[in-house]
Amino acid sequence: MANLKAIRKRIQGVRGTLQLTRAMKLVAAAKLRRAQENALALRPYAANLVEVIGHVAGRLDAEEHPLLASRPERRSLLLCYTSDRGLCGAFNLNVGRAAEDFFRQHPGEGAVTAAVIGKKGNEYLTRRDYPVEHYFKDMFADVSFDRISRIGSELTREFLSGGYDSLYVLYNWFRSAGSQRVTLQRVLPLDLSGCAERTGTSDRTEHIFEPGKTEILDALLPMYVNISLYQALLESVASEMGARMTAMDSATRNAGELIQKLTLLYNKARQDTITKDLMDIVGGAEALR
Amino acid sequence: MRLTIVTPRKEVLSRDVDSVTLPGAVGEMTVLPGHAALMSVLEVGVARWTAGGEMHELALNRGFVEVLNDQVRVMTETCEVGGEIDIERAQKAAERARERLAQASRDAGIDVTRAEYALKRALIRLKVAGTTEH
Repeated sequence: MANLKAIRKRIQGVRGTLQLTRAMKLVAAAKLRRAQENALALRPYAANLVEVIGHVAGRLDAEEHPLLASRPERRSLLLCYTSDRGLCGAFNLNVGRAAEDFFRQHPGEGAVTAAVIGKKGNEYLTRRDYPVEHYFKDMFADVSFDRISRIGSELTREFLSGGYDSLYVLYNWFRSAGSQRVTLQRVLPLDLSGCAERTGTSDRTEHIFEPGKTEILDALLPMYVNISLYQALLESVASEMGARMTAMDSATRNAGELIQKLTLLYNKARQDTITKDLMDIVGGAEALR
Repeated sequence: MRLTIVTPRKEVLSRDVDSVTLPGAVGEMTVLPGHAALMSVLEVGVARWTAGGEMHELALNRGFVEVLNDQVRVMTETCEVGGEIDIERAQKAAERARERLAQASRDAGIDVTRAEYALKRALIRLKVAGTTEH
């Protein structure tokens, strides 16, 4: 029979853990709300951008802009979105595994290099000796468009200078707080067929371009790239918080169950000692008679 | 005529207006109802719109505009109305940009285009905020 003091200590320990996981769950819930608000705030801009691009995309050949031109994919860059912190279930692991799959599907020296957002992803890939070309630190204190658009501009420049032939993003798509799905998406070269579809091909108005079509595309298309990267970031942050909420919720529940079991054990042990003490007293009294 | 102004952070404005004046890449341009379909790059500058005889001003960052079927859609990275602008911060930003430009002749590491852009943005914000410098 476990001794009473040990059980009491154990209960106290589990209670501490329970308080911690419960607090983490609440914080994750609050952060999830903020991430969803950000995603919602971006929607009007993204919708307008897609529509405007759609108006030009219908009359656009891939040769008209270097961001649209696809070339043989000899070198790809894979941008992986992970988190800085753990305790969020399989959130980071799922991205890491999908990244490994991507590397496996594109064999050959230098066929794929990774760029990583989030400490966990960087640790995962460097520990397994995958080439990580960029590691973007401290992204989560302030999830802002400015920061990601600087990253986007840098990656776009590298694409244009021939550093790599395609850019893919790998992130957790947020379906609900309880469910996230790892998603792989090609960002560069740009595929505007989605924009054109959204707008409909019936619209054939000829726009006046000021100063010229090239300049318009030079402004629109990089913005589209940055918005895509920003959207993936917001999805990923929302997913992280959702995953942490779920993980911490089940941890809190498990801790609660454990406390109940231990309390039962504790009471049994206590009763046993009382019974034993009583037996001793009764036995002693018998002996004296 | 409908004017919509959006940034990645929020929808700033969406309402009916009588006219809009925007800082286009080839100079200031005014859009009135019935304007031909147009797409233009926007520079850092002041946007003015009138509705019911009243004029309003906004500080625009770089972006672009589409005019189509009496819909004016402005997409910009940031956009502020007069009351929202932190004057002190804008003044500091202008000061910083000026210092960098002054140093640029000696220090090749300074990105002149970026400093000029920062200065311009700060000055526009001050202008819309209603404080005149010099």
